[in-house]
Amino acid sequence: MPEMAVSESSMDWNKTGSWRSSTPLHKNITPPCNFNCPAGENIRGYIDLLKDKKTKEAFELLTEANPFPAVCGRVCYHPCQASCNRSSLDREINVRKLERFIGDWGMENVNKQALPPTASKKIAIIGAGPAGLSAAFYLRKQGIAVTVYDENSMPGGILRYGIPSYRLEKDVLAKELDRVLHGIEFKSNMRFGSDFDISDLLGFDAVFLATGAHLSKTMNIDGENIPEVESGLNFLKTANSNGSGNLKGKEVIVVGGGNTACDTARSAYRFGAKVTLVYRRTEAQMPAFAEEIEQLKKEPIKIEFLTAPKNIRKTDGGKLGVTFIKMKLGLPDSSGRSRPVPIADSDFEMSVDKIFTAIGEDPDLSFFGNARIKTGGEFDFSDIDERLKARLFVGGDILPNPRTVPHAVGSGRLASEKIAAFLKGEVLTQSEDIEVIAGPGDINFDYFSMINLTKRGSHPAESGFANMDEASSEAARCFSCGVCDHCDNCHNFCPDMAVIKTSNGYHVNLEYCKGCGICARECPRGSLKMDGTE
Amino acid sequence: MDRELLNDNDFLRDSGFCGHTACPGCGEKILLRHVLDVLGPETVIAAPAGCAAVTDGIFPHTVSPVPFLHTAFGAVASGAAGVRAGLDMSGRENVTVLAWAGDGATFDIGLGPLSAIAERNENIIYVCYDNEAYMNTGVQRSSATPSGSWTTTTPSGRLKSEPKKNIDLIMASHKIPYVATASPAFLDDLKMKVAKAKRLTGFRFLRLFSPCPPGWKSDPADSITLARLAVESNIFPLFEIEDGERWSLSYESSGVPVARYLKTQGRFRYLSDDDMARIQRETDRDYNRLKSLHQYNGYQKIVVEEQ
Repeated sequence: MPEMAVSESSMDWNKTGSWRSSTPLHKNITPPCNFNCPAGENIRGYIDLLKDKKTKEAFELLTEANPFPAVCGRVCYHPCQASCNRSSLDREINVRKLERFIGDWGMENVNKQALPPTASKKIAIIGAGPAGLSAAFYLRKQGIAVTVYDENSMPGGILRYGIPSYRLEKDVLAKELDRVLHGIEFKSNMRFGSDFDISDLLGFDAVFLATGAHLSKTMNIDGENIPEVESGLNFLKTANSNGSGNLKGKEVIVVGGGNTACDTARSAYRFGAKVTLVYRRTEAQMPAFAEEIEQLKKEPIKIEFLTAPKNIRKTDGGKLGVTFIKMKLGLPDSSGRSRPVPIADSDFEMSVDKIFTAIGEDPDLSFFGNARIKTGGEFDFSDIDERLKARLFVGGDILPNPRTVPHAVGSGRLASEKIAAFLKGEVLTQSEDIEVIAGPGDINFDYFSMINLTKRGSHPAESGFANMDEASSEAARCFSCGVCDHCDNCHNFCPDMAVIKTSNGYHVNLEYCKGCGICARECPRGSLKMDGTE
Repeated sequence: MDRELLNDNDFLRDSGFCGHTACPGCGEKILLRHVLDVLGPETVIAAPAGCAAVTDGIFPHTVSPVPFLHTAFGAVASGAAGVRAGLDMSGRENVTVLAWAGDGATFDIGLGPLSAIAERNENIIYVCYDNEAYMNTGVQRSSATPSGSWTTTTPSGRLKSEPKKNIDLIMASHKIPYVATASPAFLDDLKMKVAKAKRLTGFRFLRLFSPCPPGWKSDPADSITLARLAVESNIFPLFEIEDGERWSLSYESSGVPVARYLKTQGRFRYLSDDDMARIQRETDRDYNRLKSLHQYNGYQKIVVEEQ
């Protein structure tokens, strides 16, 4: 008989997993920023790298989806920020500045990236804007030879000729384009349909058409064809090409409420004009980005809402006489916005020197004769030359998606994937899984404390972070919504030690997990849920 | 924050901590695994009758990866002192003796022997995992049960009206080297306090907040959330008392209303708004006294010194 009873074996045989009625499951869900990025960036991913000051890795991850971080860090409207869950606690993460920080780092530190040698496949891209160049960049990265045609003398498209330099500095664009165009053949001053045609494209395995939308919509009023009535896009192109304008002391009217109208008005003001912007609806219906409108309102530019031009004529003094009519908001139209309705006998006159119209743009597809965009928004391939039709891909602003730089980038990258699949004789299939988006309800706010934002200092909206520390402390505010960042809560709080750390995450030992659910409740970011099934 | 303290020692990982029979969401088991993690394999546990003793294993099996001595309900202090004496006699002063007792064995049944070994300043770490009633035997009231709480011996209509016994003050009155409270929701603080206790010699008393889903009628998934609320509402403030004199608050809470904590648990479901207002006033009063004790001595931060 021993002096006392002694236990010498463990309780491993007691498989307490049989008690369980619901099961924890580690499953990352989509952060709202990633979901809302038109360019398809892994925003949470590069912010996570910036937390640890891994700027190089962040740059590499970002440019897997978007070759233009420095450009987009300046001109993108950042829907990621609008959907950031952190705004439920204090203020959203400033993704714009983080992206710009990464982009600026890339301009300083990344010159020519190593490229694989090109194989026998050759692709032609028509249009050297953000869509065409994104497609070119990702195809070239895969060892596919790319030739980019553009009607202008310089690459960049809307980035160069549409966006004023006070929003996107020309040297930033030049540096970024230099990196993106590395290894890609660029043919300037080549307008499709006049300088080259379908027969020149027959030697290519596929063709990507991304010529954008450059036809200004017309107002359909008398006097529209007077030379002093010009499209805003044309003005921006001239202004951006030679950097000068002769508007000193001139009275100028800009018609429209979109981004082009805002850019035109602000550019004209910078060339010395006295600018009035007229828009037939109210500020709430302006299609321009909120940020653009905010900047516009800060300038000494007069804005007349609920006003539309009725007719224009040349007066004796060489000026333009314009008759305007006041509008009121009526019932919603097909765009969902209130339709402006003219108010009878509300006409008034103005005398000005110039009128810029910016009421929307259409793609110029005259080189395809009758080929047009179908009402559903799809491209109509039916009338196109048979020799080209089977190898033609279309993207960018030609399609009536929201016409923004990130949408164009995303469209270009998607085209590159479709073309790469096509070259292998495949068709790109898109995942049909329903994406689950991490909302504020997935965040355990107990794990995040408010940061006194007044201490964080203020930066002008159009500047970047001063240094790495500033950028990484902003990145550290990110919740990493829906994506496990190995905080160990599930492991540490398990009463049964059934959540085991592995080299790449966690494994739940279902032999012993009793299903108490503490791990899921204490997950700060919704990447662990009680799933209920096995 | 000292991340090293949060890394599991290999001995705990190798042996696993699986197969014990504690209820889902048990606070005591979260506490035990992290305390053992800090104390390491050179530890002997002495435990009286109670949840820990029952759930550790079924004879001849044990889940704890260190020797585990079962004692009679009131005798854990004496048993631990005996283990200490035996170890010292055989030259094994380096082995830590951990008395691991619930609130029933500490506040009520074992208080006499506890006072005796505290007064003798026995070289023991005594942990009370405080789940505020006799849970293992079926949720009977103890002197650790807070007023207003339902138990099977204080049913609705006759809820406990007496306040919770202030065991920390009793232990501090013995002028022992170290008294501290800690919570499983604040693991860094908990592990630093256990590490500090391990470095000290003499009698060390830790009272650890131990959520009990069946006894408190709470959702097992809420165990950590309500432990955090207990601290944030000042129901269970985190503090230390050194040498029975030097008080220091370990954490400045955000002061959430006690009602938020009380409403997480079915044992408080019979409380009226007036009762909650009274508990709020009592909690504020006790916390203010604690703050004044802390201020009287000057703030002392817990620093884990390099060994």
